[in-house]
Amino acid sequence: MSSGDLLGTGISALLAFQRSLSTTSHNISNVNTDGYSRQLVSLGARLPQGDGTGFIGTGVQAITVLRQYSNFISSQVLTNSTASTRLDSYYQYAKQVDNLLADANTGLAPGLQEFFGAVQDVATDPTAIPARQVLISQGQSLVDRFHTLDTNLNTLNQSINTNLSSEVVTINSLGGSIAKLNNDISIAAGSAGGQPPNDLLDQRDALIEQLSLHVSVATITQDDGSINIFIGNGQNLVIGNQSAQLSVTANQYDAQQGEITVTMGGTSSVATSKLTGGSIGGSLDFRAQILNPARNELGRVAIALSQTLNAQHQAGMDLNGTLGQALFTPPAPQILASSSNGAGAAITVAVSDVGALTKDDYLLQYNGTNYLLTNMTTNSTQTLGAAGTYVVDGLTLDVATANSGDRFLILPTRAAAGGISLAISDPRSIAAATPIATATTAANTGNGRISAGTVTDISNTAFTTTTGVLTPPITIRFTSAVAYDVINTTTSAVLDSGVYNPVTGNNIFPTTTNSLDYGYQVRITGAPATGDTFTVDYNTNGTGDNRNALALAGLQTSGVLSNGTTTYGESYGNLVSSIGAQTHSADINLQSQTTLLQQSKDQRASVSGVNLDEEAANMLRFQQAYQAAAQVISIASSLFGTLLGALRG
Amino acid sequence: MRVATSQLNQNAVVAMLDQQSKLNNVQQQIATGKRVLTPADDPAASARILSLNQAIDLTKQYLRNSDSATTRLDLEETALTGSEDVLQRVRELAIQANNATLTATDRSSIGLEVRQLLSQLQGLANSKDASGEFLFAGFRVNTQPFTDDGNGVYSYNGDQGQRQVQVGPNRVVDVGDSGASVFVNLPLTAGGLQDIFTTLEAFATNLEANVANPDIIADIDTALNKVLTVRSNVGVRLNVIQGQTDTNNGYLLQMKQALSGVQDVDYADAISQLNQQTVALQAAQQSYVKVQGLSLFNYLR
Repeated sequence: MSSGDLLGTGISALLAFQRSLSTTSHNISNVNTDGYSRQLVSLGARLPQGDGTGFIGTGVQAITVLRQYSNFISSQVLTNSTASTRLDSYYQYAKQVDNLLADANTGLAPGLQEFFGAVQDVATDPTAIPARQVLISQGQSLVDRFHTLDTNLNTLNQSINTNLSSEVVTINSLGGSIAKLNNDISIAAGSAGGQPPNDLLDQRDALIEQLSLHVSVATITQDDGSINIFIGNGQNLVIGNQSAQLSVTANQYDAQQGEITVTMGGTSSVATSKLTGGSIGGSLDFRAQILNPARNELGRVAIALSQTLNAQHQAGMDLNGTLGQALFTPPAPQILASSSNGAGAAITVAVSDVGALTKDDYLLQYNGTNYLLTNMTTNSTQTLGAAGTYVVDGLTLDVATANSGDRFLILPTRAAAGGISLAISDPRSIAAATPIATATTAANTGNGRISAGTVTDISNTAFTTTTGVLTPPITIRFTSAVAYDVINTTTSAVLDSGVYNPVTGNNIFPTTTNSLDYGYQVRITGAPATGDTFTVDYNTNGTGDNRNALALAGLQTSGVLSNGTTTYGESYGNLVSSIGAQTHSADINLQSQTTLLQQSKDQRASVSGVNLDEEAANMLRFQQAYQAAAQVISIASSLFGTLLGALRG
Repeated sequence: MRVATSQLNQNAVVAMLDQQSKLNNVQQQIATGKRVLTPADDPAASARILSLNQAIDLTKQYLRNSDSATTRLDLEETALTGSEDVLQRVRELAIQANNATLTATDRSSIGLEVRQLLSQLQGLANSKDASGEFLFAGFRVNTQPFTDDGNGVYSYNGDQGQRQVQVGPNRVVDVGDSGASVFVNLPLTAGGLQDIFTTLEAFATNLEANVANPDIIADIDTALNKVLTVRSNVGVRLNVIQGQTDTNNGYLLQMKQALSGVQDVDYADAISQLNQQTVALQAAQQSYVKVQGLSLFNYLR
């Protein structure tokens, strides 16, 4: 036995407990540091020395400083925080669209109601100029509402583009820092003989967690301690100490829309669709699932409104006796050519059937032989064929020439809400009347009656040959109780004849023998006698007629969209409630995801977090142990002194 | 489970923020009086609210249309009543003129009165409404329907159109009758068709010339009957409008009640929630303060 051993043991204890105390104080100092994992000194007994009497222990040593950290729980936190920021970003944007559409000052529903109210007022008093003036200004207000909605939705679109740029900067810097830390960690571990550089590891984890807020992250730990990071659907960001660079480039169809390109080791690829999760995933999902469909649907309502109102208005007669002109001008469908297309392609698209119009976007491709059309919502492709005219979903596509490999993005309704405008300004030009008027000849002996008449096809030559004149004016003469002739009133020439059913009454056109049709319809009911006549002529000076205004007002409640099943108001209502439902479910999901995130963070803190009371108790423990070890040294010293004293004496 | 010090703080703060947000939501509901603040609060209800609002606005429009229609029909009825009175007076004069004891001078002065009545009738037939539109011109409301050339030849310049007004979802009502169906094409006892003005003109001329008018009373009766028929039609239409207005008003009330039920906040419910939330927030705040003070370091002095 030697007192040196005693001294050595005591000193080893002092050193070990010093380390423990300094680690405890490190923990206490970092109680409020984000991402800090508490550290414990792992103590181990030193190797004993053995001789004939047994093995004598030689004290304690600090083996390593252990970071209290669970890989599994940390990856749970990553998953949950990505999902949570994705939903949060999605929800915040969705809420804005939700409020915009439903607000009484910006929403479309009040505008539609006021416009059609003005139409009804014109129908009630067709010659009053003030009522007509109000209709024109309500038309302008309605157009303004469409514009405001579109502008606001477009602003959201712009802000997503702007955000993409700043997200890209953040991700690049995080990726760069993580790559540098990978390098530092492997150097530090090497220089300390394999001991883990705990605080660097904590820093790296914190950066990875920050990254997960922006985009979903997958990590793979390498043998040398570095972590490879993959974002989104397997897009690599950090490999060892190299990091990829993200940049925002122009979309091939629309230079103002941003795409994210990843560049690593000299190769670049467009990766926007692969970046899911986090705030990037949230804003891209919002754009695809809520923003673009909302703009398309709004545009669809705008196109339906202008086309159907125009068609009905043009079938009417204004105060000057001329046929109505267009009320609104909707913009045509957009055709965006890819930036990689060749020159000289000739493609046109027009809306031909509003009832069949959808709110989808389409991709048109030419493979050298055939044109192919893909519906971007359902992802189904149909082969159209070679150059020609095709009708799909209410659109007429005229595909004349294209280069092989050319691609075109077709947005039928996206720009309509922003581009619609009012085409009428003169109150006298509002066509409240119908261009034809009928009359029952007074001398008739039977009791037949003729209806007031409706226009079925304003482009018929009866209307277009001369303005303000019906060509020809018609007399319907009954040759018997069940047959009539259709006669040109001016020349008395018999144009055709027809069969009459006195029990039910008849529509007169198209006539039985030669299917004569002049673009209007009249109905005779009752029992005309032989020789009875009825006339149809242009409604000259018929300024008090309101039949067309009534028809215009009736469009508000008639099924115009979705193959004749939905009114404008209902379509808009469907849009509002579907956005409302999506926002609502995003809210619910966000709340539950936030709870999950909170729970996983609690679990992580439970393992890695510093508890001040615990550290206080540890401090007391190590302090006591240090004092005891110091006492051992003083005993060792007094033993030596006793030994020396004995030898002197 | 081990709890880290930072967790204690964080969880308490998160809980307080959550309580505050709920409190804010309830307060918004009470302040605006609406249970559904944004469509996301209740998507199904928001769709219903939009369609109820449209139904209410449409019904109000129909009520306004009914008022306009009633005004116009009332004007028409007044003109027809006036015409009736004129024709009754002419009928009296016709009977009077038949009296064999009258002299040529007497008949001449009756003829003068008949001319005045004729002019009055013409004025009634050319009545205008408040906007200056002619009531009996069919669709040609800016053209005077009845004109004479100064020599006793009368023309009808209107057409046979009848304007309609929408007073209900599928209900239209005629708000006029063309002059052709009231004053023109009246069958004469002697055969053929003639308008009442020509008939009265002929009557006056004959009176002035002291010529007999054997058919005049029958002809006036025909005209009177026509006016009466049209007038009772107008009365029927006014009744129809009244009935539709009552229906519309009842419907409007129902829709407004439905809207209120879907959209408005139940104050009793909301205020009790407000109280609960306030208590919850206060409890969270006070418990946070209590827990904050507990630390082993307090005792290590």
